[in-house]
Amino acid sequence: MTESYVIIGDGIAGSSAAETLREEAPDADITVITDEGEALYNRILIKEFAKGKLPEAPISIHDESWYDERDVELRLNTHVKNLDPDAHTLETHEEEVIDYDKLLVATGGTPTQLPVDNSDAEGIHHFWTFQDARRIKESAESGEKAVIVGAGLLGIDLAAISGAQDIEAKYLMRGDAWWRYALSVEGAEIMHNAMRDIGVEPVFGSGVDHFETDDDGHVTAAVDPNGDRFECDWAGVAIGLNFNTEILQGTSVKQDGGVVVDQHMQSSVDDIYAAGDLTRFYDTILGEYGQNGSWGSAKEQGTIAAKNMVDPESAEFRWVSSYSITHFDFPFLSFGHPTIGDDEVEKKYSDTEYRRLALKDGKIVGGVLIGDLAPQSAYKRLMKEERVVGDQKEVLMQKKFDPDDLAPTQEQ
Amino acid sequence: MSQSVAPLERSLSRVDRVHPSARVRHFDQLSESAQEYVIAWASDDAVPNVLPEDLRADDVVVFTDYLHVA
Ligand SMILES: Cc1cc2nc3c(=O)[nH]c(=O)nc-3n(C[C@H](O)[C@H](O)[C@H](O)COP(=O)(O)OP(=O)(O)OC[C@H]3O[C@@H](n4cnc5c(N)ncnc54)[C@H](O)[C@@H]3O)c2cc1C
Repeated sequence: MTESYVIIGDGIAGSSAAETLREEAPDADITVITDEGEALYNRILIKEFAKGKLPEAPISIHDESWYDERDVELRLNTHVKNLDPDAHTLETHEEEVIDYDKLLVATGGTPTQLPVDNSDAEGIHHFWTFQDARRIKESAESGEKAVIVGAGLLGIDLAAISGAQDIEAKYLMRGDAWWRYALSVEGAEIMHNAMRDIGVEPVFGSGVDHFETDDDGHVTAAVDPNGDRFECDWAGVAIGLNFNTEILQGTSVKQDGGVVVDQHMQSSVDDIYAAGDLTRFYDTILGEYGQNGSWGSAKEQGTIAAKNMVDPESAEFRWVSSYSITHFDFPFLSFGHPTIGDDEVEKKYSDTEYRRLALKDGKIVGGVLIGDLAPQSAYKRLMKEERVVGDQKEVLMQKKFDPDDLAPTQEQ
Repeated sequence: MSQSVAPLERSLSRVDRVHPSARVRHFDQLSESAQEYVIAWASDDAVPNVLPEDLRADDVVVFTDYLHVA
């Protein structure tokens, strides 16, 4: 009998799974369902489009012929609303019931709204889809002032869009530094200066108490908890993601701040796999469950899930993720899990060069590099090898870091 | 093999405009060897004279600048 594989979500996790499934199971029925109106596009590059630097065309990755050529059925504009794991069926918004033998849930997330008054006003943007990017671009091209909220990796994209579009922006942060869970204030200051250079002013100890609107319901200002008022023509909010797991409600698929999967991307329910941003996966490097939201990781998880859907437990997810920021004159890269650990080491080399490593039990579990990304491969390798290096911090922080300078690992 | 030989100094160049038909990828979407290549090029270090397999002529890489592959 022909196996039937259904994938919900045509982001990079779902799409890379479809590609691998076709390679591994040439005769299988493969269906990809997405509620977006366009096939896989380059989510990472929509910020460049919103900046006005990149035309629309190169952002598309697959057109519909890609699916035809692989005999993959693509359902656009189709929202899956229910799942029945016992019957091995799912139901779409049009009440169509689709059978599956094996299912991949790769539904990613939806940006979280600020829980404040008027947070859904006209001109307040969240940033996840190409459609969001088109709207942000339009606001940025017609407005003069913006407010950005969310001191993390997506918030800084909104800040960079403002800078590229010559918008005068205030970047409201609750703490005293951008991405304060991964960087010290000293490291973050490099990023703050880069923001200032493009016309984006970080405002610390701030945030949003409420938004003000005009009579048409369009945002006119953000008021922070101190009562300070920041006028704006539009606002960009990036405070986190809510995973798209509504369809799993009422099933026994285990969730714990994400869909729990093992290193094979298998969920707690037979024949249901999950991949991409929404997983809480068993990280074989950390020896514990972890989470990650990055392109490379989602792509690899989709591939691994597909292999295991065809041949259970044949492939394992073992991956050091990374995520870079390329908006400024110097590059920034975070890898692994820079916000965890029981120890750390950091060094600032110049006004645009900084490094911080997060360590746990003496092993590197993540880090941040600003300016010089050259050591990233060596650090990632040490992390993957689970090498104990916490007692050699000086060597780790050498400007030209060479892993051969590390003392050999002692046999335990 | 799909690798092509490229003279070092001409292998990448900064561009302001991107042709709509170009294949454009962000640095994070490159293989580790292609990332190392871009990093070495950007820091004026020696670059291998063979392009990494996932970079081909006329690609554009989004790094701190847009980099066109010769
Ligand atoms: C603006 C922006 C910039 C980014 N920059 C970087 C970067 O520089 N580097 C990096 O590594 N990562 C970056 N990321 C993160 C990266 O894009 C994500 O980690 C990755 O795309 C996640 O892929 P995914 O397939 O798991 O989920 P998604 O891409 O979110 O795909 C999930 C898909 O499922 C669909 N879906 C959801 N629910 C349903 C349903 N019930 N029925 C049908 N379809 C459904 C959604 O509409 C969506 O199309 C960025 C993200 C954004 C938004």
